[in-house]
Amino acid sequence: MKQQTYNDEQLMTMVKLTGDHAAFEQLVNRHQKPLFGYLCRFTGDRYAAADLFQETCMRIYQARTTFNQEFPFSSWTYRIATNACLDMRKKKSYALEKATDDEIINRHGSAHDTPEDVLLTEIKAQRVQELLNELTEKFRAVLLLKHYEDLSIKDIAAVLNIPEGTVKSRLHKGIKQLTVLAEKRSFNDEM
Amino acid sequence: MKCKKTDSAVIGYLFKTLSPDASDRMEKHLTSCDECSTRLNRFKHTQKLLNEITCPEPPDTLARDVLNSIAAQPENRQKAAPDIPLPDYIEALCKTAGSEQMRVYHFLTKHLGVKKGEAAFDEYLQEQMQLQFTTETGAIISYENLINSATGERSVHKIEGQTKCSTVENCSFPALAEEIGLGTNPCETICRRQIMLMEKTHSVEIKCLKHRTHEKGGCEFLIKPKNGHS
Repeated sequence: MKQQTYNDEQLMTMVKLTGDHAAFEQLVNRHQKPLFGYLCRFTGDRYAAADLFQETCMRIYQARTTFNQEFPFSSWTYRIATNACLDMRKKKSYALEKATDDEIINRHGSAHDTPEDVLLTEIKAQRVQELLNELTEKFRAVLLLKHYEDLSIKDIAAVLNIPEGTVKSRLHKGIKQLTVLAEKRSFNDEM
Repeated sequence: MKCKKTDSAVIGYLFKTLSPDASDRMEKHLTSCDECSTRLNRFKHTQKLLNEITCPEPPDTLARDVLNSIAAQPENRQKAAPDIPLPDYIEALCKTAGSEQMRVYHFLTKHLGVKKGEAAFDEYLQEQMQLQFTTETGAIISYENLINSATGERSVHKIEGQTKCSTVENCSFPALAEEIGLGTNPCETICRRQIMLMEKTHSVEIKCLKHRTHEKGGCEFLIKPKNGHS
């Protein structure tokens, strides 16, 4: 028999009403990839991202009774994840991850890439991540949610609990700062 | 000549945050303004740079580890299912009980707003918690235990061997029942008030209609008099 599929908000309502672990498991499995990606880019450190992923899921489960079904589950998740990042930042700074060459090749390599290609790609990625980490967190959060998660201005405003005008202003300032930083380091000529 | 357009307008165009009209105007403007075209290209380069960041896949065990740590916390621990077989019709009810609650919750919060809706939902739950169903063995199972069964707790060991059923005579939510289809759903009308009376004199066969004809889910009850009863 075909299993009935629920949308995120329905599943979270089940979790809210009954603490249903199976429904929560479905939500975690659905969202782990984008959420882990967001946390990786926010911190530049996949180990910190894994810790933050765990922290975010814990917070979501603990706050389940406050879930408002009129608020999209994914936006709520990003809000909790962003707060978890900011809280962790207050406690300790996450360092940019320095992976070994073998780790990099295993992580990014495809059948067509030479080890040199893979390393070059990773070095570029690491340098861009360094630039991103130079932005203040409020600019970085807006830029990540807009560029990678493709959220609307309205949704970002809801995630960060700020007015839409502030979202636009942070997006503009963030991209301008990043452009200036990239130009200072001759990034734009290389790529 | 210096163009009066701001960087914000160019960035808004790039990130598609302008209104359709403003975006069209900017598009036309860009065809004739070298200064803005240059600015747009600068920001486009930066946007491309962001695509250089690749993310590793989440570790294979990440989700499992998270769920295990949540389940390990004493306040989140769900009771293990005791090895007591449930009567078929209780099993069938369990399958629909969770989704019924959810429909009610969605309905109330949608129509009354979150605050009032949740208060009404609490009231609805309170009413439901008073409901009890008679099992085939004559034991009573409360609605609360039924829901727990539906959500994995299966605290069926709490069934008490009472002989008298209690039920709610007056439904507080007739409009609700009608709107969400529960009024015509045998799962509602029969389970709540009649099954406990019928099962002693009638045989009850349950079919799940969730994936066939009943759009809102639920069960069909085929009720036949038992031998010696008419």
